[in-house]
Amino acid sequence: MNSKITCRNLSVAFSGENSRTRSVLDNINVTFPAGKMNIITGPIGAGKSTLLHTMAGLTRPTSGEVVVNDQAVSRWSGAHRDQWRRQAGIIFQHCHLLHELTVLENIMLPLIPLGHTVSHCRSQSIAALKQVALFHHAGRLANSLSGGERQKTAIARALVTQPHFIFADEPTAHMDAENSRQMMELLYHCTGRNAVVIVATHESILNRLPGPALCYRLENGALNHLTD
Amino acid sequence: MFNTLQIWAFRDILRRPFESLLLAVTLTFAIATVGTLLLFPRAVYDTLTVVLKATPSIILRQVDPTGWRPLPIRESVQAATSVIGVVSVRPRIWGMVNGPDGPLTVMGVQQEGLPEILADPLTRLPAKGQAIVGWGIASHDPAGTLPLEGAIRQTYQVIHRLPEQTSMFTHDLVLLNPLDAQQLIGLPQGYASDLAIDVFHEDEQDAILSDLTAAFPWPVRCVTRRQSAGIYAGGFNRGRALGAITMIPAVLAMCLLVAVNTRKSMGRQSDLGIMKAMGWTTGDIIRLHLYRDLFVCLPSVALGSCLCFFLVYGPGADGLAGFFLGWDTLPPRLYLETKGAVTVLLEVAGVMVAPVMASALLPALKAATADVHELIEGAGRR
Repeated sequence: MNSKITCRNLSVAFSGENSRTRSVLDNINVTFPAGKMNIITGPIGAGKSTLLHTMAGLTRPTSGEVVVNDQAVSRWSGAHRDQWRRQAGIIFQHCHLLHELTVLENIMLPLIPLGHTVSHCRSQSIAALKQVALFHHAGRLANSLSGGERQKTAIARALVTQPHFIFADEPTAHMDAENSRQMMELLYHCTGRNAVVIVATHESILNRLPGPALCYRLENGALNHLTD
Repeated sequence: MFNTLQIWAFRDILRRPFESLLLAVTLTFAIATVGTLLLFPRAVYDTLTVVLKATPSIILRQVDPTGWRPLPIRESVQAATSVIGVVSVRPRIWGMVNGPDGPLTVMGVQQEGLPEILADPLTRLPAKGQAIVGWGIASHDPAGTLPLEGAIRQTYQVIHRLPEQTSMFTHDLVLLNPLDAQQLIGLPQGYASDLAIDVFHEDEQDAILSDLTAAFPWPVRCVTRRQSAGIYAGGFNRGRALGAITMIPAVLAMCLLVAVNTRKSMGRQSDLGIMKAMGWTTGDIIRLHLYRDLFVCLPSVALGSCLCFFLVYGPGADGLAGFFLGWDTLPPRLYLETKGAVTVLLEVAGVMVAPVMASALLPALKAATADVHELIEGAGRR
């Protein structure tokens, strides 16, 4: 299936101090196609994370809509949005691992409610761990990992269900150049199975991308297409 | 046998073993304590109801300024049967005597007019020099004799022991031949201790009293079955007061437990947000919490209920009766009225478990309506 995700007149505003609203995203219209790497750059605080979270169904837009395969998922009720999130793999900027769980259990987390057997969940998670070269840390608690290892764990957790939509927020921020390249290659690999991959990152990474990408810049609430 | 979510819930419990164990132990003892305090009066009430149903409608005694005195059997029966509404009159020979371990109740029995409670357990009646004893009376003599001291001192051969479940009131009872009983108690020939009178209808008990009193040429005192129930009920006030005092720490412990559980669960809202971001639905999260709490609560309810049952109906009843009712010599045997006991246990389990379950489910339900982004924001930088 050729999936795509579209933002139509998407705006997000947060209420700030003194009841003033601060506009973060302003009337964004864009379509992210499947099978290609989509890179969103922009200065700190531009709203990259907000855009990813809105598309992933973690928050609702103030106006406009997120359309996935002709379905306005941002308008769906809570229960249906829960189902939409099952199709998405999310990598958070701050990883958001569950500290009481081991690395392996963190990666198993998205598989548990899907109704697979424990052994299936385990073997899938181990395969994902091997992809990010963290198999030797499987039994360690998440809070004992370094920053880069946490990010690798978060990437493995997002990819373990082989989702059609991947939203990665600064996925390589705490990694060295070599690990960063490997993880970006892994995300590129997902475009090979026709997934929609959207990565929010700094501009510095653009010249180190291992393959072609659709690049956008988010600034002052507006998203501009940079180059292919 | 178990699905993946249930296994995950069990694994979740093992991640915090001491916390889960503490919850289970507290819940078990809270259920056992509150259950016992509610079940014990219920069991005593059920026992009394059963026992009183088997007792005569009215017990009539002759009194004088010094207290009660024996009744002449022939004249008394004649006077009582002359009252309209009286169905049967049974003269009883009984009294208190000293046994090897303390005071015992002695009763003279014969085939005619045998009390209903004793009709089934008695396979034969005591002949002269023989005794049938209640479950609570210990025989220290290997030869099976029982020395008793009343108006005379006499040793009797124990020929039978009443089964434990006969009645709460037969534990300290010694059944003798009527002639032996009369001699031991010191009753003159042709006299009885009191009259057991049955009336045609339960409601006539109180109405018939004035006619009954007037039918006797000497002063008499009558006690109806209802009055007896009231007298015994009064004896349980001490138990109720002690029960209320004992229940306070159990209820306080429960409140603390629920407060801690709620606080703990609310503190993990960010984890719920992450789980939802990972594709867990609200239903999945509620099921996980439900399984996790049931894995702790169900064994606690089972264990607490067993403990409570053991204390009320099992060997623990001796201690309880001594503590609540001051029965420090002979252990009672309480009747188990299954429906009533199960109702009490279900009530206790519901009252104790429901708040714990609610305290765990509340955050999950709250998370159902909250924005996932807002829930995760609470996690801060991880």
